[in-house]
Amino acid sequence: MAALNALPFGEQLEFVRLRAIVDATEGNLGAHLGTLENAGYIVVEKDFAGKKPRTRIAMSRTGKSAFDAHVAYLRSILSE
Amino acid sequence: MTISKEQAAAALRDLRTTQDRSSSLYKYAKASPHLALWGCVWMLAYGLTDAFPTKAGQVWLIADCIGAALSIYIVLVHQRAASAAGRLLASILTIVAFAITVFCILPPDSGKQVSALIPMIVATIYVLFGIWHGRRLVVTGFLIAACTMFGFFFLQSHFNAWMAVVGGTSLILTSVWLKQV
Repeated sequence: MAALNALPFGEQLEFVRLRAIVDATEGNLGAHLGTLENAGYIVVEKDFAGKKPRTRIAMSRTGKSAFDAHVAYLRSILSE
Repeated sequence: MTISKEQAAAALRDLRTTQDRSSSLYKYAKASPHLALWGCVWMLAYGLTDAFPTKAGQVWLIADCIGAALSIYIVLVHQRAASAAGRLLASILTIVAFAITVFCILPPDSGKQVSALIPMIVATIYVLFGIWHGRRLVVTGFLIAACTMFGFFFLQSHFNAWMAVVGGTSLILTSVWLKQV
Protein backbone atom coordinates (compact mmCIF):
# COMPACT_ATOMS: atom_id res chain seq x y z
CA MET A 1 0.00 0.00 0.00
CA ALA A 2 2.89 2.35 0.79
CA ALA A 3 4.36 1.73 -2.66
CA LEU A 4 1.02 2.55 -4.31
CA ASN A 5 0.43 5.56 -2.06
CA ALA A 6 3.62 7.17 -3.42
CA LEU A 7 2.09 7.42 -6.90
CA PRO A 8 -0.42 10.01 -8.13
CA PHE A 9 -3.92 8.77 -7.31
CA GLY A 10 -5.21 6.35 -9.94
CA GLU A 11 -1.75 5.66 -11.34
CA GLN A 12 -1.14 1.96 -11.89
CA LEU A 13 1.91 -0.07 -11.01
CA GLU A 14 2.80 -3.28 -12.79
CA PHE A 15 2.99 -6.42 -10.68
CA VAL A 16 6.63 -7.12 -11.59
CA ARG A 17 7.72 -3.60 -10.61
CA LEU A 18 5.72 -3.72 -7.37
CA ARG A 19 7.29 -7.06 -6.51
CA ALA A 20 10.78 -5.61 -7.04
CA ILE A 21 9.97 -2.48 -5.00
CA VAL A 22 8.73 -4.42 -1.95
CA ASP A 23 11.20 -7.28 -2.51
CA ALA A 24 8.61 -10.03 -2.13
CA THR A 25 8.15 -13.37 -3.83
CA GLU A 26 5.47 -13.72 -6.49
CA GLY A 27 3.31 -15.95 -4.31
CA ASN A 28 3.69 -13.78 -1.23
CA LEU A 29 2.78 -10.60 -3.06
CA GLY A 30 -0.07 -12.32 -4.89
CA ALA A 31 -1.57 -13.41 -1.59
CA HIS A 32 -1.30 -9.91 -0.12
CA LEU A 33 -2.86 -8.37 -3.23
CA GLY A 34 -5.72 -10.85 -3.09
CA THR A 35 -6.51 -9.82 0.47
CA LEU A 36 -6.31 -6.11 -0.36
CA GLU A 37 -8.50 -6.55 -3.44
CA ASN A 38 -11.15 -8.45 -1.45
CA ALA A 39 -11.16 -5.59 1.06
CA GLY A 40 -11.67 -3.11 -1.78
CA TYR A 41 -8.38 -1.31 -1.08
CA ILE A 42 -6.87 -1.87 -4.52
CA VAL A 43 -8.05 -2.30 -8.09
CA VAL A 44 -6.34 -5.03 -10.10
CA GLU A 45 -6.43 -4.90 -13.88
CA LYS A 46 -5.28 -7.79 -16.06
CA ASP A 47 -4.67 -7.41 -19.77
CA PHE A 48 -2.06 -8.05 -22.43
CA ALA A 49 0.89 -5.92 -23.48
CA GLY A 50 1.28 -7.32 -26.95
CA LYS A 51 1.24 -11.04 -26.32
CA LYS A 52 2.52 -10.86 -22.73
CA PRO A 53 -0.03 -11.03 -19.88
CA ARG A 54 0.18 -7.98 -17.65
CA THR A 55 -1.20 -7.26 -14.20
CA ARG A 56 -1.47 -3.67 -12.98
CA ILE A 57 -2.50 -2.48 -9.57
CA ALA A 58 -3.83 0.88 -8.40
CA MET A 59 -5.00 2.05 -5.00
CA SER A 60 -8.75 2.64 -4.63
CA ARG A 61 -10.28 5.62 -2.77
CA THR A 62 -11.26 3.22 0.02
CA GLY A 63 -7.68 1.99 0.14
CA LYS A 64 -6.32 5.53 0.27
CA SER A 65 -8.62 6.38 3.18
CA ALA A 66 -7.68 3.17 4.98
CA PHE A 67 -3.96 3.78 4.46
CA ASP A 68 -4.21 7.38 5.68
CA ALA A 69 -6.16 6.20 8.73
CA HIS A 70 -3.51 3.56 9.43
CA VAL A 71 -0.70 6.14 9.28
CA ALA A 72 -2.69 8.49 11.52
CA TYR A 73 -3.18 5.63 14.00
CA LEU A 74 0.56 4.85 14.06
CA ARG A 75 1.36 8.54 14.59
CA SER A 76 -1.17 8.78 17.40
CA ILE A 77 0.64 5.98 19.23
CA LEU A 78 3.90 7.93 18.99
CA SER A 79 2.34 11.09 20.33
CA GLU A 80 0.88 9.40 23.47
CA MET B 1 -4.51 -5.29 19.36
CA THR B 2 -2.30 -2.42 20.55
CA ILE B 3 1.28 -1.97 19.48
CA SER B 4 4.18 -0.33 21.27
CA LYS B 5 5.69 3.04 20.38
CA GLU B 6 8.79 1.29 19.09
CA GLN B 7 6.72 -0.94 16.81
CA ALA B 8 4.72 2.06 15.55
CA ALA B 9 7.93 4.00 14.86
CA ALA B 10 9.43 1.04 13.01
CA ALA B 11 6.26 0.59 10.97
CA LEU B 12 6.24 4.29 10.02
CA ARG B 13 9.92 4.09 9.03
CA ASP B 14 9.20 1.08 6.80
CA LEU B 15 6.27 2.87 5.20
CA ARG B 16 8.42 5.95 4.56
CA THR B 17 11.25 3.91 3.06
CA THR B 18 8.89 2.04 0.72
CA GLN B 19 7.09 5.24 -0.30
CA ASP B 20 10.33 7.07 -1.01
CA ARG B 21 11.68 4.16 -3.08
CA SER B 22 8.43 3.82 -5.03
CA SER B 23 8.27 7.57 -5.63
CA SER B 24 11.86 7.73 -6.90
CA LEU B 25 11.42 4.76 -9.21
CA TYR B 26 8.19 6.26 -10.58
CA LYS B 27 9.99 9.53 -11.39
CA TYR B 28 12.91 7.66 -12.96
CA ALA B 29 10.49 5.75 -15.22
CA LYS B 30 8.87 9.04 -16.29
CA ALA B 31 12.26 10.66 -17.02
CA SER B 32 13.66 7.67 -18.92
CA PRO B 33 12.02 8.17 -22.36
CA HIS B 34 12.98 11.86 -22.34
CA LEU B 35 16.65 10.99 -21.78
CA ALA B 36 16.54 8.47 -24.62
CA LEU B 37 14.94 11.08 -26.89
CA TRP B 38 17.45 13.81 -26.09
CA GLY B 39 20.31 11.31 -26.41
CA CYS B 40 19.20 10.77 -30.02
CA VAL B 41 18.79 14.54 -30.53
CA TRP B 42 22.32 15.14 -29.23
CA MET B 43 23.77 12.43 -31.47
CA LEU B 44 22.14 13.98 -34.50
CA ALA B 45 22.57 17.68 -33.71
CA TYR B 46 26.12 17.57 -32.33
CA GLY B 47 27.07 15.27 -35.21
CA LEU B 48 25.66 17.67 -37.82
CA THR B 49 27.31 20.61 -36.03
CA ASP B 50 30.66 18.81 -36.22
CA ALA B 51 30.16 18.16 -39.93
CA PHE B 52 28.69 21.59 -40.80
CA PRO B 53 29.91 24.05 -38.13
CA THR B 54 28.64 27.13 -39.99
CA LYS B 55 25.09 25.71 -39.85
CA ALA B 56 25.17 25.10 -36.08
CA GLY B 57 22.54 27.73 -35.30
CA GLN B 58 20.00 26.32 -37.74
CA VAL B 59 20.77 22.72 -36.77
CA TRP B 60 20.15 23.35 -33.09
CA LEU B 61 17.07 25.48 -33.65
CA ILE B 62 15.42 22.68 -35.63
CA ALA B 63 16.73 19.90 -33.35
CA ASP B 64 15.58 21.65 -30.18
CA CYS B 65 12.13 22.35 -31.61
CA ILE B 66 11.74 18.71 -32.66
CA GLY B 67 13.08 17.47 -29.32
CA ALA B 68 10.76 19.74 -27.35
CA ALA B 69 7.74 18.75 -29.45
CA LEU B 70 8.48 15.03 -29.01
CA SER B 71 9.03 15.47 -25.26
CA ILE B 72 5.60 17.10 -24.99
CA TYR B 73 4.15 14.32 -27.17
CA ILE B 74 5.59 11.69 -24.81
CA VAL B 75 3.97 13.38 -21.82
CA LEU B 76 0.62 13.94 -23.55
CA VAL B 77 0.15 10.64 -25.34
CA HIS B 78 2.22 8.03 -23.54
CA GLN B 79 2.09 9.38 -20.03
CA ARG B 80 -1.37 10.95 -20.41
CA ALA B 81 -0.61 13.97 -18.27
CA ALA B 82 -1.98 17.08 -19.97
CA SER B 83 -1.18 19.40 -17.06
CA ALA B 84 2.38 18.07 -16.94
CA ALA B 85 2.75 18.78 -20.68
CA GLY B 86 1.93 22.43 -20.05
CA ARG B 87 4.46 22.61 -17.24
CA LEU B 88 7.07 20.85 -19.39
CA LEU B 89 6.60 23.43 -22.14
CA ALA B 90 6.90 26.23 -19.58
CA SER B 91 10.08 24.62 -18.21
CA ILE B 92 11.65 24.34 -21.67
CA LEU B 93 10.82 27.97 -22.45
CA THR B 94 12.29 29.02 -19.08
CA ILE B 95 15.56 27.20 -19.85
CA VAL B 96 15.70 28.84 -23.29
CA ALA B 97 15.01 32.27 -21.79
CA PHE B 98 17.70 31.73 -19.13
CA ALA B 99 20.26 30.70 -21.76
CA ILE B 100 19.44 33.75 -23.91
CA THR B 101 19.81 36.12 -20.96
CA VAL B 102 23.13 34.52 -20.01
CA PHE B 103 24.40 35.00 -23.58
CA CYS B 104 23.22 38.63 -23.50
CA ILE B 105 25.01 39.33 -20.22
CA LEU B 106 28.09 37.22 -21.05
CA PRO B 107 28.40 37.11 -24.86
CA PRO B 108 30.14 33.88 -25.90
CA ASP B 109 33.46 34.04 -27.73
CA SER B 110 32.81 30.84 -29.65
CA GLY B 111 30.11 28.43 -30.76
CA LYS B 112 31.76 25.81 -28.56
CA GLN B 113 30.92 27.86 -25.47
CA VAL B 114 27.26 27.94 -26.53
CA SER B 115 27.32 24.19 -27.21
CA ALA B 116 28.76 23.54 -23.75
CA LEU B 117 26.59 25.89 -21.69
CA ILE B 118 23.23 24.34 -22.61
CA PRO B 119 24.12 20.80 -21.45
CA MET B 120 25.61 22.30 -18.27
CA ILE B 121 22.26 24.00 -17.56
CA VAL B 122 20.50 20.67 -18.17
CA ALA B 123 23.02 18.88 -15.94
CA THR B 124 22.44 21.39 -13.13
CA ILE B 125 18.67 20.91 -13.37
CA TYR B 126 19.05 17.13 -13.12
CA VAL B 127 21.30 17.42 -10.07
CA LEU B 128 18.93 19.86 -8.34
CA PHE B 129 15.89 17.72 -9.16
CA GLY B 130 17.72 14.60 -8.08
CA ILE B 131 18.65 16.07 -4.67
CA TRP B 132 14.94 16.09 -3.89
CA HIS B 133 13.64 13.16 -5.95
CA GLY B 134 16.29 10.48 -6.34
CA ARG B 135 20.02 9.80 -6.47
CA ARG B 136 19.99 8.40 -10.00
CA LEU B 137 18.99 11.82 -11.32
CA VAL B 138 21.94 13.35 -9.45
CA VAL B 139 24.24 10.80 -11.09
CA THR B 140 22.66 11.58 -14.48
CA GLY B 141 23.35 15.28 -13.98
CA PHE B 142 26.97 14.69 -12.96
CA LEU B 143 27.48 12.39 -15.94
CA ILE B 144 26.21 15.04 -18.38
CA ALA B 145 28.38 17.67 -16.68
CA ALA B 146 31.48 15.45 -16.70
CA CYS B 147 31.08 14.61 -20.41
CA THR B 148 30.60 18.25 -21.28
CA MET B 149 33.45 19.64 -19.17
CA PHE B 150 35.93 16.97 -20.31
CA GLY B 151 35.08 17.54 -23.95
CA PHE B 152 35.15 21.32 -23.63
CA PHE B 153 38.53 21.56 -21.92
CA PHE B 154 40.43 18.58 -23.34
CA LEU B 155 39.07 17.88 -26.81
CA GLN B 156 39.09 21.35 -28.39
CA SER B 157 38.15 20.90 -32.04
CA HIS B 158 36.59 17.45 -31.44
CA PHE B 159 34.11 18.70 -28.83
CA ASN B 160 31.01 18.35 -31.02
CA ALA B 161 31.95 14.85 -32.18
CA TRP B 162 32.63 13.89 -28.52
CA MET B 163 29.23 15.18 -27.39
CA ALA B 164 27.50 13.44 -30.29
CA VAL B 165 29.00 10.03 -29.57
CA VAL B 166 29.79 9.99 -25.86
CA GLY B 167 27.22 12.50 -24.67
CA GLY B 168 24.40 11.06 -26.74
CA THR B 169 25.27 7.46 -25.85
CA SER B 170 25.52 8.35 -22.16
CA LEU B 171 22.01 9.79 -22.19
CA ILE B 172 20.60 6.73 -23.92
CA LEU B 173 22.35 4.29 -21.55
CA THR B 174 21.22 6.36 -18.57
CA SER B 175 17.63 6.16 -19.84
CA VAL B 176 17.90 2.35 -19.74
CA TRP B 177 19.34 2.49 -16.22
CA LEU B 178 16.51 4.72 -15.01
CA LYS B 179 13.94 2.13 -16.10
CA GLN B 180 15.48 -0.58 -13.93
CA VAL B 181 13.90 -1.29 -10.56
